[in-house]
Amino acid sequence: LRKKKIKIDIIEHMSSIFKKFDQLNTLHGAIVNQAGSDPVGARIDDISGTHATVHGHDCILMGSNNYLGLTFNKDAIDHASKALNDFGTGTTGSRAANGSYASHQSLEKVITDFYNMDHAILFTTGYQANVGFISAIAGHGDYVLIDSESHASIYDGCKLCDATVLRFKHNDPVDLEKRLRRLPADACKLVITEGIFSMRGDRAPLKDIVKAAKRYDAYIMVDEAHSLGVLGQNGRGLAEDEGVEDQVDFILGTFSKSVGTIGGFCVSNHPEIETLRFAARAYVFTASLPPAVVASAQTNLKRIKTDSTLRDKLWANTTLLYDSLKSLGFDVGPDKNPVIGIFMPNMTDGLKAWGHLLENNIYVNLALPPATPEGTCLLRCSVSAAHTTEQIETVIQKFSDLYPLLYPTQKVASGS
Amino acid sequence: MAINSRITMTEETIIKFIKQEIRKLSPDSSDLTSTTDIVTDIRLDSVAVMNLVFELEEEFDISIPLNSLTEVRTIQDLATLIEKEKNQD
Repeated sequence: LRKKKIKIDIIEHMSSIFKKFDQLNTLHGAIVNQAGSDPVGARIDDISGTHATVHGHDCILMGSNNYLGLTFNKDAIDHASKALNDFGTGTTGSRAANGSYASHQSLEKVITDFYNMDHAILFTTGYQANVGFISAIAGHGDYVLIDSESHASIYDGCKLCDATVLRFKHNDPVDLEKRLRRLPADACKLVITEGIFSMRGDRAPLKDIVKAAKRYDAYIMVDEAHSLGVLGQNGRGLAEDEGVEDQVDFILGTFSKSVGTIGGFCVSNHPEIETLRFAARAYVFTASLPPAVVASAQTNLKRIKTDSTLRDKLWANTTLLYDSLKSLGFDVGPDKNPVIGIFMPNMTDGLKAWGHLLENNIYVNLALPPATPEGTCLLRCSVSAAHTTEQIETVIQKFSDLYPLLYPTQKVASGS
Repeated sequence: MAINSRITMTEETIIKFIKQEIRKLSPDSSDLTSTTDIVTDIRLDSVAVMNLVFELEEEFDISIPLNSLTEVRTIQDLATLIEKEKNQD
């Protein structure tokens, strides 16, 4: 039998609801044209940790956020397989409606143990954790102060909340303090920043931000999405690294980066966050994490806690790549972190550079405005503990080859 | 708060300053009026709008809530918002 396509009638006088996409589609077409492939729709085949076929090229993956290389952790796969067989492929509903699986609760216990805190709440993604938490906790009459380069999920959480939202200059505690000073002393204030920012790869000056916030009795939330498993002696993130965990009220995180799976969480010593289970719409009105994902997250979090060699290898790779790119003359972010943002001279060159690296079997992320700081175009590398030194050296060589194409009048510096 | 000349700033002065800052961000925008739409007429993207707001906040010593910006379309709307925030100080 031949399938008959369903044809949608377009009424001529109807205004097109899709017209608003015209500009975006034109821009997307131009981007694909200039880059040679689609940088925002890359097809990945045959993935094996740090290697994958991307748009048909056998690539070293430098754009995965798989910081500790745990996506293929055998223990996690075994536990996930067992959970899949024992409990099925999904929960088919929210915990508020369908109930919690025991494994949801035990994962929350693993998170509280990991952070030495009392309360943890799982969300289905990191995005939902931010949206759910912020929109529920910040109410009418409250003030939320966010870093101007916050992740979209923080902005979206703010859009959904009833509080007054103010933006302070990126990583600028003095600007934050100026804004806090103008607010009513008795109002509830929540300051939000991130451990490692996902574009430049820079860290928040958390000690100073905490100092400013505490001077004005503000609560503090840190999104450790890119710093969990990466910073701190025990991998707990920037708050641990800067020794201010006892002053940070809420830590938000995700399993989709160093934990190697998907999911989000909020962890805190404030018992009141348990109310989020009824108040956070992103918790109540969405299906909970499937058992196999929960098992993967539990196994990998335990590994992060007990195996610091992964972090050692990650930092050795990070140092090699960051220092080499810097000495080659590339404009890299200000802090050495496994997220390495490499600023391009302009968007056209950025697109060409991305395409050139892909043609040469290196896959990096291409970041474009408005997702990037100050309207810049950047290539983003994310380093993994699973990368071999040889792979990192290959990446450095390919960037070295790229340099004269981007900066033809400048001399190529020595790589490492 | 100490009395200074900025407190008595008229709406006209605010509009003049906004236009001056927009011209810095978008040098091609020559025919600016108080009814010019900041996004559709001048085509400032979200990052440029953020930088504009930072400049205005700095100049007028105010914090402009993100929520209020959703209502702002024109230079006049922005000037009215700045005046309102200024008067709340």
